[in-house]
Amino acid sequence: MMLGPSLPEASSLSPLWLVPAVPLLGAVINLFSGRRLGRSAGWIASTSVGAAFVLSLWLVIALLERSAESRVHIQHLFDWISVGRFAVGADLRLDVLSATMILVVTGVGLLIHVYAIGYMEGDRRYGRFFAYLNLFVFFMLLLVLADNYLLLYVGWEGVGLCSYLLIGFWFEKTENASAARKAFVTTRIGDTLMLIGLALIVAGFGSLDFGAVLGAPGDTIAKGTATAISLLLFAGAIGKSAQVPLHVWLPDAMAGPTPVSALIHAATMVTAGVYLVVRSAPLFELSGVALTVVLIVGLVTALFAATCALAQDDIKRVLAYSTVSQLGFMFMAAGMRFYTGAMFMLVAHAFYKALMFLGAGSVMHGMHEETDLQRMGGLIRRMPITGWTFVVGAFALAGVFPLAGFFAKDQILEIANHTGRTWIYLLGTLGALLSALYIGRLVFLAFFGSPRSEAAEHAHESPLVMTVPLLALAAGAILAGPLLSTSAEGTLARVLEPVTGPVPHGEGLPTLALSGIATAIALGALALAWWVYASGRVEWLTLRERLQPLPRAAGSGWYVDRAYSTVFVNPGAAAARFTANVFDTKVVDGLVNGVGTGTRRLAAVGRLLQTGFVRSYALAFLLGAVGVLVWVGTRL
Amino acid sequence: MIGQAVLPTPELVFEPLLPELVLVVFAMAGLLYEALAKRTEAVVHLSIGLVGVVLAGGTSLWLWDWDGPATVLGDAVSADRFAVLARLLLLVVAALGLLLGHQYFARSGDEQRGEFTPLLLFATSGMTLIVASADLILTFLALEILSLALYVLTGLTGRRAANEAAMKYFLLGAFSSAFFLYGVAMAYGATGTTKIAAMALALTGTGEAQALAVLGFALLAVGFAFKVSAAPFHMWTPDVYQGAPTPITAFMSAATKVAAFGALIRVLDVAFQALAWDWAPVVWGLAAASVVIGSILAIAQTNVKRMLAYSSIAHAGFILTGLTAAGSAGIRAAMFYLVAYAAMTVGAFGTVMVVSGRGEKRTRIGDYTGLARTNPIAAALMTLFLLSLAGIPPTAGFIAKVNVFSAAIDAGYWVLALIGVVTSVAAAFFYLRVIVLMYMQEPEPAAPSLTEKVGIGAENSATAILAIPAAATLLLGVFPGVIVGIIRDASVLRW
Amino acid sequence: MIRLPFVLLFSAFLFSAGVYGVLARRNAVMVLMAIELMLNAVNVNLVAFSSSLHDVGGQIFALFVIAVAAAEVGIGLAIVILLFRNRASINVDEVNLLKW
Repeated sequence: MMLGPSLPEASSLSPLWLVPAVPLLGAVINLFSGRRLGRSAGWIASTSVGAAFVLSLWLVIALLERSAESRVHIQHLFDWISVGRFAVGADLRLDVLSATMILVVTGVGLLIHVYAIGYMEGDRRYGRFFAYLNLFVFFMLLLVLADNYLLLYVGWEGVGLCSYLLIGFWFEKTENASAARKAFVTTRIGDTLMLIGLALIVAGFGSLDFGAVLGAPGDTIAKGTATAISLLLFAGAIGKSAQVPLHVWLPDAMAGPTPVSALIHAATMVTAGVYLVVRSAPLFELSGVALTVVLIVGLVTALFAATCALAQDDIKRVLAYSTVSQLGFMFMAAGMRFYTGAMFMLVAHAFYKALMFLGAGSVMHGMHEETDLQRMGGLIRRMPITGWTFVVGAFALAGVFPLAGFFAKDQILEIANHTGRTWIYLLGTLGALLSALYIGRLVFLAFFGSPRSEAAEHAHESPLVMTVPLLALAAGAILAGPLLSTSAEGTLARVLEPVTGPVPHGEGLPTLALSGIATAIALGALALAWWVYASGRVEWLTLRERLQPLPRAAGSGWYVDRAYSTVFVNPGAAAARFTANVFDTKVVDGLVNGVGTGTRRLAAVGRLLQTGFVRSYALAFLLGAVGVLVWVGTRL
Repeated sequence: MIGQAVLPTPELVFEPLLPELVLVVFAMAGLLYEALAKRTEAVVHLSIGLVGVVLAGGTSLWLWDWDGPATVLGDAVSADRFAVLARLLLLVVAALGLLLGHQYFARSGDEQRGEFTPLLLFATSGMTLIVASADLILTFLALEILSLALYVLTGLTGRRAANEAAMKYFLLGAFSSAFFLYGVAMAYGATGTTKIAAMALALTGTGEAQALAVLGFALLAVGFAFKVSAAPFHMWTPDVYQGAPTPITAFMSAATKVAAFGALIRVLDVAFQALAWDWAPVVWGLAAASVVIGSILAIAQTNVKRMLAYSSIAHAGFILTGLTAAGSAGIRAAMFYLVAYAAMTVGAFGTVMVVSGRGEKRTRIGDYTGLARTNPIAAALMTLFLLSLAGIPPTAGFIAKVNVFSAAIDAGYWVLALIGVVTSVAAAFFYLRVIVLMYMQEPEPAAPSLTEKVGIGAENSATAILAIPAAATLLLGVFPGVIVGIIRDASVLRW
Repeated sequence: MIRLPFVLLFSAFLFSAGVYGVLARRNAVMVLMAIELMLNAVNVNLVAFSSSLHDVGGQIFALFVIAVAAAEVGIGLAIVILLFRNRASINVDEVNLLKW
């Protein structure tokens, strides 16, 4: 593991701090003068992210020019906190892992920013939107570039805040506001546990620096402590990456503007959990148990969310559950110590999922905010660019050779097979089958067959500013797989090895056979989807009725939400409603409100002691003085 | 007998007293200008005040590298860096107070307040003197200088509320001074000296007069507790802070606390250092009572100035929490807290002044409803200061709280730290409540004309002044490292 | 020569009388006088210590205290006069606009 500090040289990597700084500048400009800038706000935001992308590209090339062992650059910006012996600096770390992440964040981010220029056209708070988006990019970059857990946590909370602001961006609709709150509260559960994990790290290592914590954790802490820390960190990842059982916020988060769904809830923020696990791999490996937990949670999520995705009628909710499921695959990979596989999938997924979200946005744009699959159909003739790029994305997700998803998923299943985890392999393959099915269903229902509504017949293609990013992302989805996995020296796995350690090896079915099986399953599932949903030979709605109550249950996410409502939310809401009622009435009266009636009553009584009579104050003073004297006197 | 004793004449080294001399000279210049000029201009008063403060600041800075004796004028005045840092902080607060006051009286439009600047300078000179004082006689004199000036400042506008506040402040202040003086007399009787250094030496011996010394300390503590508004000696604070003109509240809430804590630190950690085991529980009790009473009673307040007053009581408790740790760790934590507290409390009261409008009509918490719409800048500033007062990162208040709690825990007072943490959580609620009002609710339609008048235009310059405490609050929250080194240098008391 | 403890007791009594006056009197001027009594009790104390310690410092301090007390009375009376102008009364129990 290469986690030692690098020499503080004035190298070609010293502009590293500019990478997060530029989007922050964009955010500040848009925040303070967004209204005056009008339409140019979007271009300013995109330019700042574009500049960060170019800069990242340049830095990564400079980094790769170094020898494999010296591909770490730590930039100390300033001393941040020092309390006694404990010190935390604002330090940035550029190594191959964070390099991968910043390229994804700025690259995909740039395309989504450009797309949003068209998508958000005419919105009342146009400038504000881009300010938030830029702010998000800043925090995300901070998260992945941080060289200690505290700075990472700042980024972590920052992206959570931006996510909250952006999901609820159209807060006039109560649905959006409540979705935003749900996302915030749910992820907060994980964040709180994660914070406890950080406290344990401080207790165990006396430091939060990656170098000190991850170098050789076995020398400092016991296995049990490592398990506790790892599981607490993973709890944060579960919340952020919407894994079971904290997955419930992500489907609702689709209420936000579509570019937000693409950027935050598909390509970048939700993958932060995967990044955290891969980054903290030495802790997880020391624990061992924690890795198994990661594997199981990932597997359960992958399968669970795939079944939910199969039964959604809302195009964005299909994609949301699909994201949850795909993130599950990434955690599965990480749980098998196949960190490069997780990162590979993260990159590939960023391309094709962002592509599909933007495609869905384009469909909504062309159909007046329609999201119901039952009212679409045959759209590929009306909006060819959107349609065909979407097909590319869907095939990539389904794992059709040679698109990005094929390599990603194939590798993970191969490792499962080769390390003798037969059950994982079989269940993972089932997950792949379900993925191909639900995405095939989505594509064929939306884009093929005959139009099922007025809006679908009169849909129109989106403007260039939206379709160009689609084309670029489609190119990425096609090329990323072969480029990152086949060329001999430059494969992502090889590059990442110094940070993530070698890929696990083992014996199992030959690679070619596994690939054959995977391709057959993907194509078979897509064919099945076509036959059911687009060939016109099956009445799929009738079929669905016959299968009830299964589709209804899956469609509602297997009633997890309802269960949570009954067990946690309703009693909480009742308490909150009570407080809110008290709160509101009291505030309107310009009066008091309650933290709890007890404290309030105490305060209400206590303030009456403050009579306003100067002589009673003097009496209180005297009593206090006598009290102090007696107290001191008894100790003599 | 006494008549025959030849009094030793101390060598006269006046340099360490220069800042006070400058302040007093400029205060008198202001008085003469008011008395002799045919027509006085508020701007001239302001410039006299500011020049005086800046010059005093310059001389203080020069004293940072003072290499003369540690104490001068017969061991009465200390020339250490602690005094320099505390003075600088006080002078910055004084400058902000002058600027805010200028805006306030310009806005109120009633008669000129020629005595405002000289009084504020006199008060400041008392404050800067008390933090440098190494003799309890001088400490008492400085305490009276600053108090007398503040009594008058409190009642400056002559309004009923201000007058009442001045009366209460004066009667209770004089009352507490008597206790303080009694404590000095006891300490003098126990040690035979009023010099802090000599007192420390006398108390390190076996000392049969310990009981007298401890009683003396208890009475001194009561006096100081009154000045820093620690519970149960806090009763005057809400009334005075509410009744006094807001810029003066801003000034005295920050500066008095800095001055009194500066003097208290010297008394605790030098004079009574040997009795640390006896005084720590007293400080403990005052700290616990203050954080609890300040935090809980703040919840029930409907007036923003009153709420901030209770908050200042709670903050006195937090600073005392840091001081339970005797020695430099506690001093450092308390000093950082004082810097942070000064920034955020001046800022918060300054914002209250901006919002309150002419004649301080809008000081109810309800008046802040929807402020984000009518005056977004003031709302943003208020949010920042309230977050800092609540101790939420990334503000100075957060770092300050972490410091005092860790100092208390290191000294073994984890129960006190726990009380502090729990009450800060409860207290965060009443700050957040104001933020919620400002941002989540629509402005009251009842007072549209007032809303307009308090709009952005007229208050620009007052708001601009608040950029200074706002910047400090943020800077110390994000980069507390910038003053850690300075505080470390200043935390060594020389005697 | 009077022994020290007696003087200390006397001054403590004087101080307590002052405290009682502050608490019991409603007239602001009387309260002011009670506070003066407290200060002078301390003066007695200081001079007593000064004499028993053979140290002149205490007496000098007492002189300072007398000067400070004079200034305090000056300011106190000014505030009370303003109070009277505002309310036509100097009863401190009628002054409770600011409370709770």
